Amino acid sequence: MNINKIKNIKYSYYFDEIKKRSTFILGAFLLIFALHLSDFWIIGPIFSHAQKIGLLPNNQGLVLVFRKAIVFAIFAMSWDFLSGYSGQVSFGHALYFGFGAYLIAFIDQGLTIKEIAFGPWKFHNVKIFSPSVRDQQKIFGILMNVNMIKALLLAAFITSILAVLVGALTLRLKGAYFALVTLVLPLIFKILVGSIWVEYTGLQGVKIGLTPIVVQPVTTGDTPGYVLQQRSEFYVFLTILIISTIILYSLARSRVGIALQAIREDELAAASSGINVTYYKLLAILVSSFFAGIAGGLYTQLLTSATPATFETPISFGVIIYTILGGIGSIYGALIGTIILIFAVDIYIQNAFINVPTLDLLSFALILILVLRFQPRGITRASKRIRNAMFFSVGWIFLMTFRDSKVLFSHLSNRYSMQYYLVKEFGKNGLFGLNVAIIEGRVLFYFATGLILGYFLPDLFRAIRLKVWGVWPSIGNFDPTR
Amino acid sequence: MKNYVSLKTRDLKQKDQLNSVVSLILAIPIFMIYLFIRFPASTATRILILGLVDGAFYALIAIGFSIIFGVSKMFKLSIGGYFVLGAFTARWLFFAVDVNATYVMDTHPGGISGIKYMVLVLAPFVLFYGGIAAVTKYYGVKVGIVALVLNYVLARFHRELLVQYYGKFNFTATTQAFFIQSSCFLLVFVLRYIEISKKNILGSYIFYNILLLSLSIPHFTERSPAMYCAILLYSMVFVAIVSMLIDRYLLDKARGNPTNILIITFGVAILIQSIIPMVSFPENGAWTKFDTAKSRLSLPGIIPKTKNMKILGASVQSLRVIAALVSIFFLILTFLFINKSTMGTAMRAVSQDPDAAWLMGINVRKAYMVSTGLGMALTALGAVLTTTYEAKPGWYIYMGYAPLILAIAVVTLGGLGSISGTAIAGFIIGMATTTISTINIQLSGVVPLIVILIIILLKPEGLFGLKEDSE
Repeated sequence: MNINKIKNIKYSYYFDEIKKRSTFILGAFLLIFALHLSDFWIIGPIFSHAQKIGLLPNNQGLVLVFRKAIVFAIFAMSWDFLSGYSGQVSFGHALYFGFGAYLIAFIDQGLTIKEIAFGPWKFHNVKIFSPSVRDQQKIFGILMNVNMIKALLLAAFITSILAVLVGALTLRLKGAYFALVTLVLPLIFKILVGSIWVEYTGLQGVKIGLTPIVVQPVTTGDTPGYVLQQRSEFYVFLTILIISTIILYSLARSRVGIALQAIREDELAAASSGINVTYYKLLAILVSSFFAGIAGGLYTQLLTSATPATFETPISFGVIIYTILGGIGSIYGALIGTIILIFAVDIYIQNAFINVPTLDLLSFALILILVLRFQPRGITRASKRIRNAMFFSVGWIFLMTFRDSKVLFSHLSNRYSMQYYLVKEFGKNGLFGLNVAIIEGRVLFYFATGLILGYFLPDLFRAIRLKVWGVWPSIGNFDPTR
Repeated sequence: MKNYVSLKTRDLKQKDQLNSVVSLILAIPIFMIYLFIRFPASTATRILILGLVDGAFYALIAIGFSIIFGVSKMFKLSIGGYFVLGAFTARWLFFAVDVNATYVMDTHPGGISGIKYMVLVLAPFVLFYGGIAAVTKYYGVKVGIVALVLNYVLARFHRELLVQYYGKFNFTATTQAFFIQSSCFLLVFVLRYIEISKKNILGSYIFYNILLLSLSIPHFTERSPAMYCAILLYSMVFVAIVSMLIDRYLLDKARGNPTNILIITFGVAILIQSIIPMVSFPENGAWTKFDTAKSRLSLPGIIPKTKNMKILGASVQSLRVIAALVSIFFLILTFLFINKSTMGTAMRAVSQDPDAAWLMGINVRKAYMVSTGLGMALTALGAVLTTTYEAKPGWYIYMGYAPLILAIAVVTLGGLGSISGTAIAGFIIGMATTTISTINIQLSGVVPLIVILIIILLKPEGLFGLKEDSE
């Protein structure tokens, strides 16, 4: 027993805690200050050069991607709270997404049903929602329609009540049966909304012309008004994301989350140790559908309309894929998985391949299968070696693309350019349709090579050390006493 | 047969199933009376016939699903993907052997461009002589020589038939004849894999050859039926092999975790459907690719789509009737396989208790693989049969979604793991969808969904399924 080690626990405690969360802190920093990164010391030049050569999108592109990513991140976290924690794997979470989307549209534009008949009783012109009155206020320098924020919360609240009513029916179902019922429900609503209730849901199933949350400012100088609006919307969405992450994460860490995990592991044991299973399951559905409704409401802000596509199965499965990539059963996993995957698909994968129209779905399916087969706990909780390899490959991408742009190591790249040899060897679209002549294609190529290098480099390093020193070196955790 | 009947009577002793049988017997005349009051007589008979025809297709697909669930206790959502894979493989083979060789060899004699065409044109010969080599290896030199002579003669005969009746020329007729004859070897080795006895293999080989000739000689169809049989067999086997490999190497570790299996199999379905636009399809001497929305390309039927047939005063598309007859034939074959053969018995044993079956010396892993292959091959069969006439799903890469929903509906209605129940439920849903689509075409898509919802919420074990004890 080493006494020194026990002594050191006290002062290395905070170090370990910070080290554990350092990637999350870094990620939050990058997300919140995404548009101002070029102003920072050291990161600034690297970031602005990456934007210049096309490795990262410009600020407008970042805003567009992050708005979408934030909406789906809220949605994925809500799915994770229901399915990852309580174990009721929902295959139709798009139901609540679509409810949120249509309800915010109804609350904004009003809903009057011409005729309802309950057997002999008939009601005419029943007013369910009256069109909302615009209420513009300036909050933190952003001119917002406050009534839309209220409408968002109301829509989410109604969604959660409807979800509890539906969820009460499915309480006794388990596993595959629960999955099938949840798979079917949104499809029924899709047909109802898309072809049977067309009178109320709008022409051709689309309700157009929603009031935006952020009022479009007047164009001043070079930047057009809609760009400013999108930028403000990004900050509004980010605020909503942070609030919902805090709520969901703390709920999942609290007594509620523990009870849900107990139900997931063994329902009978949980019930016999005094957990009210019905109450907690309904609570999980309520909370989860509330945030799914908020995500649906925000999604209408992106499209400025509510469409029947919000009920479709790809949306339900997209959210499962995001969560599984990040790590199921941990709220932050859903958040990270969504942002990474949407960023990768929208910016790199869709541009890097040509002649493949179904590319987003293809990459989704491949990621889903590979992650579930090899790292079922997701990339945030993958084995340390894989995580290190991923960090290495991100650095590798920056290094190689900067070298190709002939800023770093220009004396090397003048003589030897990877881009030149790749195009020469494989042709423009040689590697399974991967276009290595453009930067997005090379980014994917460097990511793959960096992953392989980063995975096998420690072995190489150890082998060299073995040759040189003749003993196995220990590459353990950092120990400040040594 | 005795065993099967006794099994049925034992099942009927359970009260639940007796109830559902009685209610079905009551429901059938009520449904008939309703039809003949609501609609004119010709429409009513048309609904009945179309219901039977569609029901055969639904039963075919759902039985594959049901066998897989019964044996390996997996809900495989990938059947939609395999449906698409089967249809597109058949289309690929059809044009690769039929049109392409014609275009390349007959209109430009000696002008094969590119190595891909070379491979395409020579593939049937490789398959044929490879089959003979395999037969020689497994059954001895004597059998090999007999097979060579016999099949060569049959191939020449098929060539003459193709030239005389189906308008093929020269080299195309030869490649097609060799392709047709090579499918016999495929049949033999498939039967060998599923552990059919040598006597039965010989019998089915002779039966298959007689079937090919007897369908081709009367030439009542536009295209060669022997060709269609070969394409059908090849695409079924291809789909079965793909599904078995995926089952063995991807799903084996997730066995026992139902939700993971649901997610992975749906991923497999998406993967298969989205890979198709990357594959080039041969067509009239050129290579084309499928777009997401392109429905121009499709598999031509054995007779033209417009031909109709009169049954009991109602005119029905002839292709539908052919598809229904073939699917009923395959339903009977599946029943026989499950109830009569050694492998079928092993599969039933595994479905009851895998551990005990393993202790009795049954190859459990092989039973899983055969059940998967059988189920997916039936799905592929359904795809090849229906996509030739069906205009409603259209030929696009996501057309596997509707059969998936239908299969789930049929299986839940019939009862999970109950094969006869699934077959009956297929016909019930066929009747229901045709009736409702006659009343209101918009509502016909909702029928299977609502059936799934009601059955799972009210009676999760279905009409004929066994009640599972909750844990």
